[in-house]
Amino acid sequence: MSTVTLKNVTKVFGDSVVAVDNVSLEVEDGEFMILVGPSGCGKSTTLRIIAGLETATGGDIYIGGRLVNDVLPKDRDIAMVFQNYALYPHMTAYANMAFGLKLRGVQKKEIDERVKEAAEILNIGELLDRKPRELSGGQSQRVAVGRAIVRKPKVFLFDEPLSNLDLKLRVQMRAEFSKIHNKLGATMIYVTHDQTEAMTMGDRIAVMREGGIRQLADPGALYQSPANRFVAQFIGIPPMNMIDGVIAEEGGALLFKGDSCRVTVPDGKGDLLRPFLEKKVTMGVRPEDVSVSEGKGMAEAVVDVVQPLGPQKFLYLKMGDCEYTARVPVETKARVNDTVAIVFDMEKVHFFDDATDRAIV
Amino acid sequence: MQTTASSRSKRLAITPYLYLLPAFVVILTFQVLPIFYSLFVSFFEWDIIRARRFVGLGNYLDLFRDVEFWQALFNTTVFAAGSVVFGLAISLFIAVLLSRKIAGLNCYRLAYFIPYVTAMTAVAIVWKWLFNPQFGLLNYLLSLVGLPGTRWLQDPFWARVAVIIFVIWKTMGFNILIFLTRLLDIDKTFYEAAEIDGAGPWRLFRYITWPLLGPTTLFLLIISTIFSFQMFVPVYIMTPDGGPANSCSTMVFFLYENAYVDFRMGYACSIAYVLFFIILALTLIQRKALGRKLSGL
Ligand SMILES: Nc1ncnc2c1ncn2[C@@H]1O[C@H](COP(=O)(O)OP(=O)(O)OP(=O)(O)O)[C@@H](O)[C@H]1O
Ligand SMILES: [Mg+2]
Repeated sequence: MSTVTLKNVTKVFGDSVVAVDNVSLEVEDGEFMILVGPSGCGKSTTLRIIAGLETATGGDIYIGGRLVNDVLPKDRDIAMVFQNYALYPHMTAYANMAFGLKLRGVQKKEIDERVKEAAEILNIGELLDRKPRELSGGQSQRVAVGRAIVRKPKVFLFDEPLSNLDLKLRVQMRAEFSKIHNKLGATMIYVTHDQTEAMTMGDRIAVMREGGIRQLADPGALYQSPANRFVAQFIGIPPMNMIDGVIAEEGGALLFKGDSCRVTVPDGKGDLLRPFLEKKVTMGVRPEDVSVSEGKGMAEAVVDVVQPLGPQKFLYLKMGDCEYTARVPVETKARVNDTVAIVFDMEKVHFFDDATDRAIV
Repeated sequence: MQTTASSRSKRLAITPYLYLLPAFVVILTFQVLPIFYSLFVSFFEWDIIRARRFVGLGNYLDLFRDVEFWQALFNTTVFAAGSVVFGLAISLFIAVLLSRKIAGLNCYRLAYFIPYVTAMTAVAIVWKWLFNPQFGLLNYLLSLVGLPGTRWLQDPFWARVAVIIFVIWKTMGFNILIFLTRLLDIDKTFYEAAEIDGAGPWRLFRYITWPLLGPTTLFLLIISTIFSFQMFVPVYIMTPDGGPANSCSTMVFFLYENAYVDFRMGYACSIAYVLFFIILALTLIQRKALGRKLSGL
């Protein structure tokens, strides 16, 4: 168990491909840290730098307080699970799991104990004699995790380990990962592009984009107070509604004037918004903070699509050229082509500065 | 009407075979028939000019009592073992080096492959010059690094070494190409996983590369063995008299001498058949012995 610290880590491929751009990150001992972001944002590269499979162009990497820039992967006391599992095709599941211990000169008896123990945790006892080609995707995935567990490393690194599994298995494995994490209490760094995975599993989440970390926070904070427009739109399904507009003043009260709506800014947010008077801002509203009614609201919209989803419904609304999503209780009566009044929960809306994309409030 | 139609369809059915006929006749005449004809001839004593005399298994019995036959079989085995073992080892080594990303990779690949596509006879003559004790390049190069030269093709031991060197040089390109293709095909995450598991360069080779190359190595082993047991041109060019103390007379060389120098056609055919069964047996043994080990891949 151990901390992992990145200090101003940069990786440039060739002359100009900046895969990781000045990333600093502190992963605490025993923490489940998630790196999430769209494809190509540098998640895997960051993880591979921690593993020692890539050499950083600049910056320092510490594992357990030790500078490991020049330490070989095998001496970093880490284990990694690859997206394609990378199980050695010529070895049985048992041999795959035992391999790292064998290379480290662990006694046969202890290897056997550790493999059996890991097999028990992962429920793969009957698969130990099989070769990788005789395993299903989910089984291979477990064996790959087992190969990491038996080593009892300080730090576990996972690179999209669930992305090759079908949805049901993925959901099930998420829970298992959390269980394994609780059981082992080890530091884990987990890369994914799937924000649901990130939100459900992580202690903290680093949202990456174009090689940099855009926000580092726990799942709740990430959802409730996104630091910028990118994080706001990346986290949450369906994504946050974004409404362009300007801040104006009328009779001493601050107003947000959007294309198709005018809303009064609540007092609590006024102070922070005042400097942006007459400036372009974007108002962000989560779908669950949009409610519809038949009476009078802040704006009127036409229902475009209705998606019932268990206890709730998603309404896709059209207001002029703009489209909004609302998450409403399943009892809501709106039907396609109805005109409804919409109300935003102004206490919960976000404002972003168009000039910098940063959250204002 | 019906008869016309059916005869027409029959004619149509024959057409494809007519197209195949010329090639078939050629193959039959020059490849298939000689196979059976030589088996037939191997039971006779025949010098091409006089009438054949049936001797039953006489040729085969004579063969097993013929010192020169055993000598040729021994030489062939030495050449095969030397060129296959060292040839594959060197090829694998070079292929592993070439599988790394190094500058000018394609130039190296081409350089190693060129010998394979050159005409055997022509390059054998060149190598004969290279091996020349007085004017040969090889002894000259050895002298440059302070090593004594040797009477390459005139010394029984060095003559065999010389032939093996030549054969390795000639066939290496093919082996490297096949090894390299497979090496580049191995998923590099296996190496990364093993590296994290604690393997250094040697163990990566020992535990990942070597086992994953298994089927390729077996394939090359069989092909090279078959090829080297049929060795003829290199020894015929470099040591036309069978080499010092007959040290370079191979099975095919022995066969050739019997057939076209001594005109003992029946005897030569029996050699051909013995060689055939030796190669067949070797192939089966290799496949059995190694194939089982590789069945997991
Ligand atoms: N070996 C390499 N050589 C050159 N460029 C590379 C290399 N590896 C990655 N890159 C580039 O670096 C950037 C980041 O790649 P990386 O694999 O870290 O992305 P990622 O966030 O893991 O994406 P994904 O979700 O698709 O796996 C990409 O633009 C990629 O093209
Ligand atoms: Mg990736």
